[in-house]
Amino acid sequence: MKRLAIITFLILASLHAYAQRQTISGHMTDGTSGEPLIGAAVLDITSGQGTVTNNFGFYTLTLPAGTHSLEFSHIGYNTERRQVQLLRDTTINIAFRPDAEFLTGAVVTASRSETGVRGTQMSAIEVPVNVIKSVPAIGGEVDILKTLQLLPGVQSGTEGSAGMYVRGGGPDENLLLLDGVPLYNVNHMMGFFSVFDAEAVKNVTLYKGSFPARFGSRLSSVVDVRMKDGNDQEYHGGFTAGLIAAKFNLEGPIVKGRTTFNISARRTYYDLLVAPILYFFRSDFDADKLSAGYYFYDVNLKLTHKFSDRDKLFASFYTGDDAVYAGIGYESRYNTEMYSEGRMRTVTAIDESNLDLGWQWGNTIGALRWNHVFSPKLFLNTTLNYTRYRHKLGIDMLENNRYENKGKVLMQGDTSQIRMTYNSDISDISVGTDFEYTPSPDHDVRFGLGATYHDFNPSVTSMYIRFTQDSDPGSKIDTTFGDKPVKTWEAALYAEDNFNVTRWLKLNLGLRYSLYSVSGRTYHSLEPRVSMRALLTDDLSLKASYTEMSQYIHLLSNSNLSLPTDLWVPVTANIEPMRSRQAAFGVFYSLGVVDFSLEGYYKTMSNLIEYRDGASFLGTTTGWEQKVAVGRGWAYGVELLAQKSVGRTTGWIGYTLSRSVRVFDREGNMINYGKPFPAKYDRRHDLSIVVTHKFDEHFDISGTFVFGSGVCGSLATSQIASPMDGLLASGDINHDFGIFTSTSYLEGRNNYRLPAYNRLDICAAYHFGRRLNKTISLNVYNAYNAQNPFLVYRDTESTMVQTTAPDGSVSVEYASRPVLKQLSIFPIMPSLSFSYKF
Amino acid sequence: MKKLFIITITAASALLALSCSKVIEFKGEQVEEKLVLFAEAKEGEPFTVNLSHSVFFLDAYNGLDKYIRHINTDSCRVEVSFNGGKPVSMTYLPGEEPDPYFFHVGTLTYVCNCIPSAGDEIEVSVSAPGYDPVKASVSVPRQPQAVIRSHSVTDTVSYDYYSSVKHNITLEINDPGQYSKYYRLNALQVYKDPDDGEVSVSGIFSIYSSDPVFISTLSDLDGIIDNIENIDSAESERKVPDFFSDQLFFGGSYSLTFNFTRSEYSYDPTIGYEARKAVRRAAADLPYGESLAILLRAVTPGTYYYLSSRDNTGGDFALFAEGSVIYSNVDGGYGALCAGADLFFVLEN
Repeated sequence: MKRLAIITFLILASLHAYAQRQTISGHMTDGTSGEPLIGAAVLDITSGQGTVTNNFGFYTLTLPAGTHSLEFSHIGYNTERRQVQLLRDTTINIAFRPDAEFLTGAVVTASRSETGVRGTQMSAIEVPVNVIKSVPAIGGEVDILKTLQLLPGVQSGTEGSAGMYVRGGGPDENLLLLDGVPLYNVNHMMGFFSVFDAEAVKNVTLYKGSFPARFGSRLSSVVDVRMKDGNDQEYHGGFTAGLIAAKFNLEGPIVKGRTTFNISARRTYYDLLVAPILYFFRSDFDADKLSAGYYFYDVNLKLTHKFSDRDKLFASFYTGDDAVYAGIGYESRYNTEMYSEGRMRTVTAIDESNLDLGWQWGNTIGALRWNHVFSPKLFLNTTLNYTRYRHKLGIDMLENNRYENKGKVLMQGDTSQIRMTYNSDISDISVGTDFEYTPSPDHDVRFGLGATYHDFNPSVTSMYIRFTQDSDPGSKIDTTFGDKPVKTWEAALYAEDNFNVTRWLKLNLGLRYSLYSVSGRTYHSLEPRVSMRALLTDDLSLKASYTEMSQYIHLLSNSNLSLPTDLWVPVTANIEPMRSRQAAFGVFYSLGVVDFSLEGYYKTMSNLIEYRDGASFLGTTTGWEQKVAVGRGWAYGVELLAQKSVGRTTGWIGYTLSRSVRVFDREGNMINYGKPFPAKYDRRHDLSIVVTHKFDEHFDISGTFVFGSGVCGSLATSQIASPMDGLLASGDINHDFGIFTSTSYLEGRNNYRLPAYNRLDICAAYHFGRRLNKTISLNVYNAYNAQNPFLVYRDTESTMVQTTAPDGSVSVEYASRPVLKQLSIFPIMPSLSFSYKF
Repeated sequence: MKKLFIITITAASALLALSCSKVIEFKGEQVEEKLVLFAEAKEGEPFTVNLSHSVFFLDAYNGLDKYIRHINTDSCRVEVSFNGGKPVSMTYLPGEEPDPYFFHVGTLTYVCNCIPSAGDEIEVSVSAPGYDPVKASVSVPRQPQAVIRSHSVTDTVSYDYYSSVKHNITLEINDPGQYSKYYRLNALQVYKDPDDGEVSVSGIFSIYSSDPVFISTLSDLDGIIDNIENIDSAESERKVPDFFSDQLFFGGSYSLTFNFTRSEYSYDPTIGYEARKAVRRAAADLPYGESLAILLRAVTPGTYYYLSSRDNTGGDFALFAEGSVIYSNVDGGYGALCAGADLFFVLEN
C-alpha cells in the first residue's frame, strides 16, 4: 500500500512538472525582407536547450515555466536576446537585423544547426547562398551544383559531362528538389550550368548519407534547394549581364506584409550574337538560309500569401529549356519554256532543299504548398506538385522541285520529305503531407505520407517519309514506334524522431515504408534510418549512421557520353528497384572558426542497370529492357572537410579517397564476363580547395583549385586478326580461304584510366555605387589553361620513315603509326560580368 | 564599327568553341601478346585452325604479317583431339598472300585429315615459344530440326522498271531435346548456272519480323528508308520492325513468322562468307536457274556469343554505344572455337 502511494505520488509529481512546461514558438525572418530563415537558432541560456527553424522559418521550443534568457541567432545577422517570463505557450517572432560587421566574424553561441558538431545529422552540408555566389564561375554565372561538386564525396565526371556522382553512385541516384519538387535533368549546356538560379535561392542542403526518413526514392544523395519567398516590405531586384547570359530578378510585396512575389529569369544570348554572322556568311556555303545556335533559359516564380501567423500558402513555378538548332536551305530559280494549258510559256523552275535539325530538352515544375500551425508543437506542410522533363530530337529534310508561273504552281516535280522526331519525357503529379511535432525539447518528431503518379514515355520515334514523282502521289510512310508509355504509382509514409538520450548522446531513429506499383506488380520497401551523435566535448563529436534506400527509376546513360538524351525509365515487372545500404562513421571537431569533419563510409547497391555491350539509346527499335543488364556494386571511402565560414578569409578544403566497383555476373546479365570492373566515375583521389578573401567592402577575390584522379573509360588496347564480318574462315571445297581483318580487342569495360584532372578558377569582384549595389566581376575559368581530358581515343599519325637500302640509296615514305589522343574542350576562358541591384 | 563588332563576336565564339586534341602517353598496363585461335567445326568438312597472335595497339609495325610475325611455325604445335582421344598434330599449310587493298591480314592455317561428325567433342590446344599455351573445346551440333509450315506470296508489285514479291513464311523449329538453342537465319537468292553448275548467291536484305525473339539493331538507316515501302503502316504502328539479312537468335521449340520482299533492289551482295559456303555445299541438290532459299543454321553457345559480341562492335552509332568485349572461349588466349550445322530450304525455283 505504501509502495503504491509512493508510486502514485511520483507519477502525479512528474505529470505536474510536465504540465508546468510551456512552449515558445514562432517564425524567424530577415528583418529587412521578411524572408523566413532556415536553420536559425534559439538557445535557452539557462538550461542550454535549443532548437533551429525548419524549412519555413518556424521553430518550437518547450521549456519549464519560469524566467528564461533566450538568444536568437543566425549567421550574418545580429543576435537577438529576449528575457521571457514563460507562464503559458508563447509566440515570439524574430525579425533579424543584418550584421554590418559580419565580415569581421559573427559570434554564434547558440546550438549549431543539425549538420554541425552538435547535430545528429552526418554526411550533410549546408551551403550558404552567399558562399555559392562568391565561388568563381564560368562567364560569371554562379552555379549551385558546381559549388556542391567542390565538396568531398561529390564528383562531377569529366569536363563537359553532366551529372553529380555522390559516394560512388550514378547521376540518377540524386534527388534534386526545388522547393520540395523533384527535378529530373538539372543541367544546362552539357552540365556547365544547372537550372538553379542562385538569385532566386535561399538555402541549399546536400545529404550524402544518413538520410532523414522524410527523404526517399534515390540511393545516393538529396539536394534540397529552397527558393526565396520575396521581400514583404519593399521592391528589390537586379540584373546581371555576362559573356554567356543575362538575368534579372525582382521581388516585392503585392500586399505589404502579407503577399509577396519573387521572379527571376535568365537567358543566354550566344545564338542571337551568332545569327547575324551566319546571315552574312551564308553565301560562302551557297546557301539561301543558314542558321545554327544554342540557347537556354530559366524562369522562376514564387508567390507567397500569409493568411495569418498560422497559415501560409506558397505557389512555385519553374520552366526552362535548352535548345540546339541548325538549318540550311537552298533555292534556285531559273526561267524555262514549258508547254502548259495549250501553249508554250515562260515559267519559273524552282529547286529547293531544306535541312533543319533541332534538339531540345527542359523541365517544367509547379507546386502549391500550405503551411499550418496547429499548435505551438505541431506544424503541418501539405504539398501538391507537378514536374515534367521532356527531350526532343528532330530532323526535317525536304527536297522539292516545281514549275510556277506568276506564283501559281503549274507542275509539281519530285518531292522527297523525311521528318523524324525522337521524344522522351517523364512527368509526375505528387501530393504529400508532412508533420513536425515537438512534444518536448528532447524530441523532434516528424512524420508524413505522400503519393506520386509517374507517367513515363521513355522513347518514341515518329517517322514521316514521303516520296512523290511528278504528279504521281508516290509512297508515304507515317509511323510511330518505340517503347510503350508506362504509368506507375509510388507511395510512402515515414516517421522519425530526433531525440536526446542523454546530454551527450543524441539519436535519430526513422523508418520509411514505400511501395511502387508498375505493370501489375507492386514492390514494397522498408527502409530503416539510424544515426547517432556522441558529444564528447562542446567542440568534438562522434557520429555514426546506417541507412537503407530504395529507388524505383533509372537513368539509362551511355558510359561514353552523358547527354540530355539519357533516358529515365521505371522499374518493371522484370527489373526490380535499386537498393542501397550505407554505413558511415565520422569525427566532427570545431577548432575556433574552423570546422573539421572526417567521415568514412561503406555502401552497397543492388539491382543497378547498365547498358549491355554494344548497346546505345540510338540504333534500336526494341525496348530498353533488352538493352540493359542488372547487377550490383559497392563503394567505400574517406572524406575530409575543413571549412572556415567566418572572417575575411573563408573557404574550405575537401579531400576524398574512394573506390567504386560494379559487378554484373548474373546469368543473362553479364557484362565484362561477370568480372568486377570500376564504375565509370571511379576517382581514387579528389581534392578541392576554395578560398574567398574580402579585402574591404569594395573588393574581394576568390579561387578554386580542383584535382582529381582520372575517370575510367573503355579502351581497346589490343589488336587481333579476326574473320571478316564475324564469320569464320575455313577452307572449303573450293579452297577458298577466309578473309581476316584487323579488329580492336577490348579487354574489359572501363579498363583504362584517363589522365588526372586539374583546374584553377579565379574571380575578382569590385563593388561600387552609393550602396555598393553595382559589381563588376572578372572570372577566369581554367586560369592556367590545363588541357583536361574530355575523352581519349585511338588515332593514327603520319610519320616519315627513311630507309637506307644496301646499295646506299635512301628512300623516304610515309607510314602511319597508331597513337593515343586526348580531346580537351575547355581552355582558359576569361569573362566579365556586370550586375546591378536595387 | 560593324566590322569590329563582327570580329569581336567571332573571336569570342572561336574561343568558346575551342577544343584541342593532342597525343598523350599511354599510362595503362600494357597487355602482353596472346595467341589468337579461330576455327569452326562442321560435319563432313575437314577441320582447319587459323592461328595468329594479338598485338599491342600502339605497335607501330603495319605489315600484313603483323599478327603472325612472332610465331615460329617450326616450333609451334597445334593439336586436336576428338571425343577425348589421342591428340593429333595439325600441319601448317602456307596460304596465299593477303590482299592489302582490302585490309586483309595474314594468319597461319593448320589442317589435318580429321572430319568432324555431329556430336563430336573437339578439343584444340596450341603451344608456341614466347606465349602462354591456349586450349579450347566445342561440341559439334546436329542439323537443326525444323520445317517450313507455311509459305505464301502476297503484295506482288510489278512496274516496268521494278517488281517485287512479298513472301510470308512460318518456320517451325522442333527440337525435342533442346539440343540446339542458338540459330542463325538467312534468306537467299541463288542462281545455279545450267552450263557449269556454278552457284552464286545473294542475301535477301530485309527480312522483316516482329517476333520478339529477334534482337536486332537498327544499324542501317539508309536500308530502312530504301525498304520503307515494304512496311504496312497499320501493321508497323507501335510494333518494332526489325530488318536484317543475317540474324542470330536464341531459339528453342517454337514457330517463327517472318517475311521479306524479293526484288531487284532487295538483295545484299555482301552476304556473308558462311552463307555462300553453305550454298556451295548444297549445290548438288539445288535446281538450275534461280531459287529462293532459307538457310537455318544451328550454332553452339560459344559461336552465338562470339558472333553477337562481334555484332555489337562498330555500327552506325558506335560513338554512342557501349564498348563491346568480344567473347572468347579460348583459355589463355583470344578467338573462338565455333561449330555449326546447316539446314537448307528451297522455297521456290
